[in-house]
Amino acid sequence: MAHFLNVPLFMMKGTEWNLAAGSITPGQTGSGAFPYLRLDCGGAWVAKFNQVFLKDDDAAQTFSAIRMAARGGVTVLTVPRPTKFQPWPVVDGVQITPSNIPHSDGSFFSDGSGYTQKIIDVVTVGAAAFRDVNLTMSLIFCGPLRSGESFSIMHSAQDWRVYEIMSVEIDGDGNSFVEFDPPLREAVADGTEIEFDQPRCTMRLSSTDAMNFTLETYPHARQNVSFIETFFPA
Amino acid sequence: MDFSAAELLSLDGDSQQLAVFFRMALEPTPIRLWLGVGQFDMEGFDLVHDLDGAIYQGFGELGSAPIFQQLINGAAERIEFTLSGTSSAVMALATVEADTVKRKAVALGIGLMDNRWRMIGNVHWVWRGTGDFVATNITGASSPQGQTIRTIKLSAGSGMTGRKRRGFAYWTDVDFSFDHPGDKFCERTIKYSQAIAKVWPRF
Repeated sequence: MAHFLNVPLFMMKGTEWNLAAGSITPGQTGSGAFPYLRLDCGGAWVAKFNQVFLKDDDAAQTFSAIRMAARGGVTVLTVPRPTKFQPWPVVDGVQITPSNIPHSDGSFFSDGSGYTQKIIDVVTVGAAAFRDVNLTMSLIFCGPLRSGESFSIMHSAQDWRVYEIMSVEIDGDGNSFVEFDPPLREAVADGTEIEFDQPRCTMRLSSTDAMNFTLETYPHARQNVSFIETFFPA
Repeated sequence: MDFSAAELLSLDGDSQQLAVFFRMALEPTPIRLWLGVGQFDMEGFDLVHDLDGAIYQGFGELGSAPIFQQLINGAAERIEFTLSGTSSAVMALATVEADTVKRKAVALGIGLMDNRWRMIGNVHWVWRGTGDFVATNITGASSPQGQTIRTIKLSAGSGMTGRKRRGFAYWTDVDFSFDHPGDKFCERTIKYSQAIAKVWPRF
């Protein structure tokens, strides 16, 4: 398997995550309606980080280093999906969100940062086959799902893959029956952990110049990056 | 090729989700591709060409499927498939195994999918032909950062299309005397330089 690299979650102005889909139509017809044929059978993720803020030297140097390590699209990257729709759990009316966790004596690292830990705890109930588009999830420690959230699953062969929820139903056992797209990239076993805190996907740079870097001296550099989902042969 | 009632209902609608499959019976491993993303496992479907558990590779290996016609009392036709020219499996087809393609079975199948990306019925193999030749097509990059596009064209035909392709011959002494032993018509061909207009004899 290829060399992996975790892309950090940069500060950015915006992000786009779309499924690239192919279709065939006959174009405009007399009645306005026209037949439509979709051919991609699910599509692959195409991601863009728009205007990544490189606010200081550290950020710029990190960006620059990752650009080199990405090797123009050859290196397989684990790309975090920036999202605001995590179903953070609510305890006694207070939403639990990630916080800086200090060392046992209450101190932080020298730059003020601490540890983080995964908060949302969701596992699958029952297995799902390759290319299924629904899962039953047991929300052990999680806010209610409203649909529109994205989540990730760490597959054994295909590594991290991101999915987006299109509908949620609560079944009789209190579990959430979730429908999503794209189809599962790999079969999922019963009790698999679902990652809601920070969804991420296995991708590569979409082209050799997708992470070009211009160093601006003032106020700070803003760069665009684009990624495309990549797969491993089974 | 029978379509089930559910499939016909889907075909009647004005939007369909179609999966396209391509298979070429090469030895020892057939090339199996489909137009979707990721892999497609044939397990559980009525298998026409493959043994149980055949995996069709997606990932854009199959560029596009050509337009084809069914052969019904008509002339045989020739179609071209475009395959990606960068994966080792397909590239080997175009280079080291180029001559093994000839007369190998090529099949093109479709499958209808429902709203949940599940196959409604079986894969319908709608076109069968035989491979003829492969050609590599490279579009060079115009800048150092540009991408060189490399694709492979596989020409396949239904029926005996080879009959329509004429064999090449040259106006050389060897070729001509093979067909007409003893005839010296082309004996002096080799003495003519190429790309020079010969002046018709003036008297």
